[in-house]
Amino acid sequence: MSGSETAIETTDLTKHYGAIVAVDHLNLSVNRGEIFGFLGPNGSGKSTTMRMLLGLARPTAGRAQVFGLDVHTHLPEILRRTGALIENPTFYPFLSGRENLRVMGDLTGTPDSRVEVVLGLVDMQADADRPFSSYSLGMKQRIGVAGTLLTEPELLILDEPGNGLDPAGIVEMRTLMQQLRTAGHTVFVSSHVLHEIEQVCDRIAILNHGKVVAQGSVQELLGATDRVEIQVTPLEEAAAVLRALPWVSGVAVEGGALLVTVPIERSADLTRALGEHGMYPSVIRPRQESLERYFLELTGAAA
Amino acid sequence: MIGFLRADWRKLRQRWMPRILLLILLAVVALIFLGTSSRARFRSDLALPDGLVVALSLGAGFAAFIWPVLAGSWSGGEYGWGTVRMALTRQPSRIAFSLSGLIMVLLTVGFGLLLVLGVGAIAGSLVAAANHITAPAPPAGTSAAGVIVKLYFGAWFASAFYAVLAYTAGAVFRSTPAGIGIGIGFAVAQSAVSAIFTALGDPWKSFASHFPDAYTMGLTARLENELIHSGPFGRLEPNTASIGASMLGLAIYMAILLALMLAAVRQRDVTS
Repeated sequence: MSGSETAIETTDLTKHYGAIVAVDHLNLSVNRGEIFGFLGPNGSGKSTTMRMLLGLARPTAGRAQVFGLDVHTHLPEILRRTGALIENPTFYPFLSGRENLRVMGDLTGTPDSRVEVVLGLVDMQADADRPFSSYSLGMKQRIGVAGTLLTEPELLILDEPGNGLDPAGIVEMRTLMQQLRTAGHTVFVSSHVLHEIEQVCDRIAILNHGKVVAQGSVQELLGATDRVEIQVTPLEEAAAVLRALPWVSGVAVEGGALLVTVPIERSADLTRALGEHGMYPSVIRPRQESLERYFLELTGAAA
Repeated sequence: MIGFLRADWRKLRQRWMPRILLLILLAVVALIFLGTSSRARFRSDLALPDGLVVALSLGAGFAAFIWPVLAGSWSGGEYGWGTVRMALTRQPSRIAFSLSGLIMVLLTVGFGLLLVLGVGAIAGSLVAAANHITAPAPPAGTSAAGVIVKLYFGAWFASAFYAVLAYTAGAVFRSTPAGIGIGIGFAVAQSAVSAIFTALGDPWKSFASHFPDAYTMGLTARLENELIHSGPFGRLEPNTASIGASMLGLAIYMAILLALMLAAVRQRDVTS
């Protein structure tokens, strides 16, 4: 077993599909024992990256390592230690949920008794003998997650695991991921449910057009904002004063307050500048961004 | 490989399609026995042991229309359902994944021919008892049991070609309809093109004699002819390929198909 402290590391990982660049020199580092959120708009390269980590797609250039092992040369060992759910859960429609998991168990040498354990973990024991084709999307997703847990993997790669789950299911999924982290597993998860990612992930990376545009802890990324919210009257006059300052790069009026883009260490200078014009702010504070707003700004999806 | 075989065996046992196809095949063989038994001239060919030869010959004859359905849906289904992704993220050997499914299909073909033998035995016995007939004695020095064993494997080998063709098409085009369509369509197109080439005369006619159909027919007809010499079942055309040439020809065709499939599944990304 490799002693690497990094669960996943990519170096200039690149994937071209003809003229389309799906993943562009991606550098990513996921530590062991953390829940890492992988965000990006549709078509940003998340699933392609996950496919390359699992050997389903071959990189055009660059390198991917899992547990410090090269994916290209050590794929069997990597897969033995990894559980994956890529895009929608895929199973045989003519088999029941239980039989599908047994098929997966056959592939990994997992005993049938373990199938019962994972069915219990995702609360699917009662419906396990129904044909997979008769399941709702949420039930299919649960079976898919159960499949990833069959081998008690060190690393879980989950692509949109909340798809189709009802609110209770999403909460269960969150709890499950937190339990897995507590037990020492690493979870690499992509999701469009940014609120969930914000709550559960230790660190995130945001992907846009195949490139990482931000990577770090949620707190770091949201705290790195250089916007200050100021409540002051009269609003328009204050805005004009601040717009005239050379070190202020943007002033917007939003919800009865000014939103000023300024180096955070110059916040005090804003108060001084307004005071010189006889305007005294009642509130001045760094603007706490939501992950959703941050995501939309970075990916340009807001437009 | 063992893991894939275990998984495929589980799938095979739970799947309805093979059972339905086997039922169709057995029903067709039984109906042909019934129809043939009404013609006094051919009736003696149905009595045992000749009836077993006839049954196997029929089993091989319908291979082009039965087994492509199973083989094409087996390989194409893995891509259509996306289960190839599930399997290859557990066991990364794409070659083992592809060959395991094919092995399961070919085992089913073998099992199907055993059942065909069973139907032939029952139907042949019934025809003989109802009409008070016996099969002619085998030619001197010929063992009926030996011919039946050889024909069983010959019929399996001939049937395997159509299974391999459809399986390859399903895997290469990642589609069940493509697998089944190309598998069955090839058999139909081959007959038509073969007839046209034969009508055109040489050199076209000689091309037709190397079509897979010429070899599957040659293999089963030659073996059949070792026991039955008259009637529609034991007839040999003047240019019927030899057993050796048929086996070699089919082996080359199957090797090409397998190489094509394995190259495709090894090289390309799994995008399903």
